[in-house]
Amino acid sequence: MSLAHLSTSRRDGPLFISRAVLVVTSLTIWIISFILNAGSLDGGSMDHLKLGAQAFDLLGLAVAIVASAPKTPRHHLPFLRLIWLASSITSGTMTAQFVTPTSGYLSLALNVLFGTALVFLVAMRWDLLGFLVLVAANSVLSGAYYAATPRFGSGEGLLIFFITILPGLLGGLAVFFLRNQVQRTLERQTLGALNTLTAQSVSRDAERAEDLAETHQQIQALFAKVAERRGLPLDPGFSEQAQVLAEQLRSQLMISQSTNWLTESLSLAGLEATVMVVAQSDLVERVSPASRSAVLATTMLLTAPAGDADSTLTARPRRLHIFVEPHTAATVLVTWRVTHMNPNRCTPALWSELGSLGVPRVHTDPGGASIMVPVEAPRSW
Amino acid sequence: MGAGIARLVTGRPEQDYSDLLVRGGAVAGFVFIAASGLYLGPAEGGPPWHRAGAALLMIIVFVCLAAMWWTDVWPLRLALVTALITLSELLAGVTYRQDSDSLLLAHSLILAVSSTLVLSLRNSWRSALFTGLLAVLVMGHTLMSSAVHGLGATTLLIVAGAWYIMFVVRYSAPKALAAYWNDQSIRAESAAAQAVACARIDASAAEARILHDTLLRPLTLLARGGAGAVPDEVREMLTVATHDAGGPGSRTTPATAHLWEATGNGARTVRTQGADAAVEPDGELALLLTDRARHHCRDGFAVDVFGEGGTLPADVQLAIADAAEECMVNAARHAGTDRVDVLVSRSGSLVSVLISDAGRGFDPKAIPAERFGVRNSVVDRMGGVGGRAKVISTPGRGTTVVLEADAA
Repeated sequence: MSLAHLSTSRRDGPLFISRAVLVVTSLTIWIISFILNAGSLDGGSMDHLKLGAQAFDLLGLAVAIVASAPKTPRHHLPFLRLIWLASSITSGTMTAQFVTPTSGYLSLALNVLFGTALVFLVAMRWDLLGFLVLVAANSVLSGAYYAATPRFGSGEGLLIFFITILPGLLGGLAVFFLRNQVQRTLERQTLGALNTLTAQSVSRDAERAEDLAETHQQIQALFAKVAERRGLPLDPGFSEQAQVLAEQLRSQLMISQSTNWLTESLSLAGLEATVMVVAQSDLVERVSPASRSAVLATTMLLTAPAGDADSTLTARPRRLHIFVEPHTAATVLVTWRVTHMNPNRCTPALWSELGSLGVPRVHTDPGGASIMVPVEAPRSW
Repeated sequence: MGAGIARLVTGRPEQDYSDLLVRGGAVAGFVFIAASGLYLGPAEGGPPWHRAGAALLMIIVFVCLAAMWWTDVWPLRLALVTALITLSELLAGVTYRQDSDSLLLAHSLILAVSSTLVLSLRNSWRSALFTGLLAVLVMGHTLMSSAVHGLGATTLLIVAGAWYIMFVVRYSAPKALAAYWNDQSIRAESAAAQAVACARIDASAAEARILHDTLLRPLTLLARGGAGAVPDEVREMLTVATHDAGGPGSRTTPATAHLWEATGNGARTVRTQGADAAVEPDGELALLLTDRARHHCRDGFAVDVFGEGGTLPADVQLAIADAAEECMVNAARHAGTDRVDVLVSRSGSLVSVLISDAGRGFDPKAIPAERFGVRNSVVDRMGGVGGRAKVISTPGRGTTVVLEADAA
């Protein structure tokens, strides 16, 4: 079987496995920092700096949470990262200003540690290189904050360096090794699935191929008979037989052409009973080959239950309808209507696939949810 | 490592073998102890036995963390917590911690490393009880130490925060990893299903094209009693070699070269079956198209090929030639005209072929679904090589088919 259609995974999935862990970690560090800073308020002139730094840290946390959310549109991410960087620099600079030779170091350390935790969140939907660049930038900035304090040169900068660079390096290594492992395993799985599905496809097609071969033989026999006769016009019996065979061949070709890549893929994946495709075949065929893999992956991810197994909503069987409608000259509107689904419980991989197709819109109602996305589908003629 | 991930996904191990989280925690603990040790070492004070004791404890902690890579049995975890508490007291004495908030932070980080032991928590009451006892040991020490020496809540907050974070990791990470793993498996399966489905549909379409071009076309002619065809044409169409050799493309052979006759103005004329077709080929694609056109020039029906397209990748060239030939056949059969013009042009890497007639035309949207000629043999065929086809036709105003493909 040709592997020309096998989409080599782009897969801009989340960089880290659990966003919840990173949010909890960041929030915990901010709470500790807030408690310690609030406890050190003395009514002096530095109090507003302490509170201001905490406020900017909280703003950075909010921005980082939005930047790591799977549903945040991809084109907003660069701006969110810039806003976070600005809030981080402001907070770090303010914190460095109230460091004295005898106090304030803990606040600065917690501030840069908090920044390190937020780097993980902000880079959640970035790539490994982007993450490492942010880690390095955060480490350099942290060093710069410390260098601006009167404690610079006392050797305490070493600890600042450790707590900013080490988590980043460990995180980067973990991502690298885990992804390598996952990639290798998935390659094996894909090859296994290719073999299984190819065999399945051949066996499903066997009956149709046999019918077609039989018709082919009948036509060849007719041609041989006609070729033996010399001259025109032909015997009316041959014409009638040719007409019957032509109709037979046309109907067999119609049957073999009656499917499209989406229904065929769903059928191979065993989802024909769960998923109903409501679309004209020519519209489905218009979907560009580059988008097909994401459309199918989205469909299959939507049929798989997500979240806690004991949740009432996720335990109920889902039914999924796919509507493909004309949209613009170069796009079609694909709508997934899923019963018993809460979009907020969907996994990041789903939003990653949807994001690769376009900008999705989500509509929820008591019966389930609808996800609409315009998909690239240029007209062929 | 794969087995570790699988075990982590499916749940906690029954035996005291380390899983991926415990190993990750051991590595993180190792790094933070080393970093804190490097920072605290030079500041270390007290009697000389303190240094020796601290060095010994560092070795014990490192050995314990290294052993965590293989096993996390309870005595190992207890030894690690005890060593960490003692090490924190030796490396950052009370006096130093009171004087310097940086030493206080390093001291807190050493104690916070104990939180990685939460990653060994299992779904059993014994494991929960033991981990709880370790937490009480660490927190109790921290609380008492802070209270006795007036250090404030800093260390307690940092250690408690670290334990809480590790607890969240213990219960969130396996679920998140399972979801991630499941999603990746679904993506792999969907990629495979889509590849197999598209390959099957492509094969089916190619088969339909061949059957249409080699069987259905002569069959339709026979169904009409051979009306409008000469006996040679019928015989040629029914030749087994033609309809079993992969379609019209198979008819292009070097043996046809002798049919070319040079003319005075550089154009060449093909004489076939009593009909003339004037052609002006300059490139390989144009030569191929002229060769195809030769088969359809009979009984006053002429196909003229102009322009040049250069050399294209073999599959693209063959697709264009087959699609163009299907247009010629359609024009000869349905257009009611005696002339078709084929214009080949190239702009950069884009090659265009226009097949145009001034015949009766048709409405492209009104083509019945059971007619495969335009859809399969022209549009899908071009789509199969990354090209495209556009049919421009109006009833009574002729037909132009534009074939475009990238030659790069």
